[in-house]
Amino acid sequence: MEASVTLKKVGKLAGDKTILAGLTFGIEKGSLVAIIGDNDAGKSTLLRVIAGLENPEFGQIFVHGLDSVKRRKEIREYIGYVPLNIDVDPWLTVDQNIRFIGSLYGVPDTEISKRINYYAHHLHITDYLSQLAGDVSSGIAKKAMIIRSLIHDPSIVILDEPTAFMDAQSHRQVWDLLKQLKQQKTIIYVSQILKEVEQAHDRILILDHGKVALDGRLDKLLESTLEFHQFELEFEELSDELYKTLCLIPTVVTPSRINNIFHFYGRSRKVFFQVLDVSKEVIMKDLNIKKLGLEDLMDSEFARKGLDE
Amino acid sequence: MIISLIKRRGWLIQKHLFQTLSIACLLPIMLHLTLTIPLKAIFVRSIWQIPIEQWIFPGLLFIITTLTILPHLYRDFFDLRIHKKSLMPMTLTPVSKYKLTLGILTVSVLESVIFTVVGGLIISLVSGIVFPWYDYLTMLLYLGMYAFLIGNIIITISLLTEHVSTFILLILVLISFVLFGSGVIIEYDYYPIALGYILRYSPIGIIVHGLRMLLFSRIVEWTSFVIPLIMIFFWIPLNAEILRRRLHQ
Repeated sequence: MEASVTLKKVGKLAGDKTILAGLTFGIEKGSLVAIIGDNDAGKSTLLRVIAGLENPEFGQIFVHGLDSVKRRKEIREYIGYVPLNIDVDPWLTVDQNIRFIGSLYGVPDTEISKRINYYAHHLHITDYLSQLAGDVSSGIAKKAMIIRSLIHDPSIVILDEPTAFMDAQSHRQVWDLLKQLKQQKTIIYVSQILKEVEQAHDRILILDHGKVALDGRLDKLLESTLEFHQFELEFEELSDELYKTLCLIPTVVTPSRINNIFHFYGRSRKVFFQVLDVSKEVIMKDLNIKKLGLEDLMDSEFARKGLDE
Repeated sequence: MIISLIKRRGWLIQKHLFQTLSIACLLPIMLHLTLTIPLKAIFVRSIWQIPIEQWIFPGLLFIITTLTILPHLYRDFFDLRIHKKSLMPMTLTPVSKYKLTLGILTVSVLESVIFTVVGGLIISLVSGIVFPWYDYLTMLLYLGMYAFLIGNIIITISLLTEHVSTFILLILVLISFVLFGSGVIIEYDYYPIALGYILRYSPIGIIVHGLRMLLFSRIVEWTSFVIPLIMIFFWIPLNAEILRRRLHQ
């Protein structure tokens, strides 16, 4: 498939700290890509760099094959960006905020009016259009920012927490619109709401310390983790010696302990029997085995180290 | 692009129409009452033997331009930038930083020149000072040039400061210089010769001096508009570059 956005060894520094560490990947045209990760993983910075709001210290970004630095002006036509925080002009009305940015993109007035009406109707903010942006709630302002990002009909929409500050109904309205826009537009977004990500994505990028730890469709990621089970065995007494022995079992992945509870991941069920075999002399009080989901994945070491272990 | 910026400015003024009109009327009256009247009582005539109210008139216009151009540029280049408001989406559009800086500055200059013309009319009505029509055109030309220059200085201060206290301090220094060091109120001949010479040929002083030379001596000082025009020509791209660096773009 044709790539909308291509990153080649993109790096971003903040003083001595590495925010993005040589990222290389492509995003297909018409796909819905979710970027998730812990706080400070570099998600918002990545969005800002792709949107052209910040320049990377090294590496290159291509948007529809155009170098983001050399062909900046053309690229800006292709991108719509919604930042996390509310950045509307509080002294202009919601309508004027959108209209002004639309006119800077050179969109004719009639087209701006048509698009504002269309999106405002879908996001249920028609009644708020004539109100001052500083007087509406943050959720409404965020919806206005989404419309503002779509006003010049960009082919790539980049959203930092698209449903931030919104109630449940607004969540649905925003996702209905974004899902409707999918296929026509490439949508890249960051979210901390994993249920939202599970329901709306073609691909998930899990960032950790500026690197892509995991990358793929949810089903592929879960397929990779399908055989990964999370095991929790509670012994009557888990000695240091036994713990060390259990950790040495080659199929035991990322073992840890909390008092007498031994916690580990395993790719196959066989590992469970190996652990039982080693610990058969010790009384087991409780056991808990479950398949990993996205939330577990984010809690696990895999979200930091990947699935190669 | 410029039409969009003018429309936006119109929308903003509409929101504060009463305050804007009040300031447009009160500022020139206040300047006339607090500057022209006491100066008339002290000096009667300028060193060049021009009636003081006539001599001070262009100076009052420069003061009105300075004070009315400030809020718009502060808002767009300091307030909106510091509070991460609508400056960011503006910079994401295909409009270059140079065009954006030039556009915002041009709209501010237009607005402040309109304020100044209104102010000038009010002062003329209150004081009865009348110039030939071509002098008003000359004043308009010099005021426009002055507004571009002072606007650039304000943009630079707005972009280089991160704290409102620093901004206020620097703007107070600038306004103090305009009032007391650029010849708008105090003639250069009152200063020691060397200092007067430096102030007369400072970027702001050269415009003020050039206008007075043209109005009251009918002498055209080419340097009074060539130098400021060259400065404006180079200052706008410099401000655009500062904006780009400030936004890390």
